[in-house]
Amino acid sequence: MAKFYDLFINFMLIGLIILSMFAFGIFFQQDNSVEEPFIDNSLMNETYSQLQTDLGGLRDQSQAQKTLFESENPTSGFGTILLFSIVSTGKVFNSMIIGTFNTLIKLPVVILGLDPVIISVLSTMLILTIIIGLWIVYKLGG
Amino acid sequence: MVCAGLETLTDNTITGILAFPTSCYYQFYAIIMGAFFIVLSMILYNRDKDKFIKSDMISAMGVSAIATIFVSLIGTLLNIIQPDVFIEIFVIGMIFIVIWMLKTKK
Repeated sequence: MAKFYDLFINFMLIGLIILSMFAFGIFFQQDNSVEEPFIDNSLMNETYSQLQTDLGGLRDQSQAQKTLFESENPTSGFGTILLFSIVSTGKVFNSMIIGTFNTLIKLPVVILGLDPVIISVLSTMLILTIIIGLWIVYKLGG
Repeated sequence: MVCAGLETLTDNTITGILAFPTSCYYQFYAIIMGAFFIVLSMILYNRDKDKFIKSDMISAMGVSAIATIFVSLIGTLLNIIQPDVFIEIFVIGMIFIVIWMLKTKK
């Protein structure tokens, strides 16, 4: 079963680990005065900045969703409680997963020349997992 | 492939000697790092196989990928691994790490 929460946590941790490896490499090379640091490569630089932006914005985005969630008055539905802010939360957090995926996939595509068919298949699998996961979140609340 | 002989080696320091194969074959250290990665993965896998009932090849490869990236990073300090070769190693290693992380069950 597609679990949106697990998928989100996995992607954020992957982003964090890759960002840490980037940061470690950059500072390690800077401290030892390497002549040609790898961050001079435009693609690596762009990926590093993008990852920083993606992950750096997480706190603000989640805080905004928390505020939205808190501001809502739950209404009783047929055998359930209706909360519309969960839809907004789902939309925001699924765009974060897609954003991290797009940032990370660019490296193998450009450097290793990965075939667009592979990217297409991977993207489809991810998007389908997100859709099903989100549907379960909306329907069952978890 | 015809490579220049050792008599053409001008830099007699350790770094110069280590960097010499790169002048003949640019991807030399990429292959060395590939071999390092495979050997380390097999060692970790076999060690896990003895220790646990069910060992995991992907996690062994993920851990080896991190080690390979760090060893390559040290190689860039000594100028024996060129930046574009390091980037290739980084990206390939990253793929293994991502697969490993996605597979990890909490």
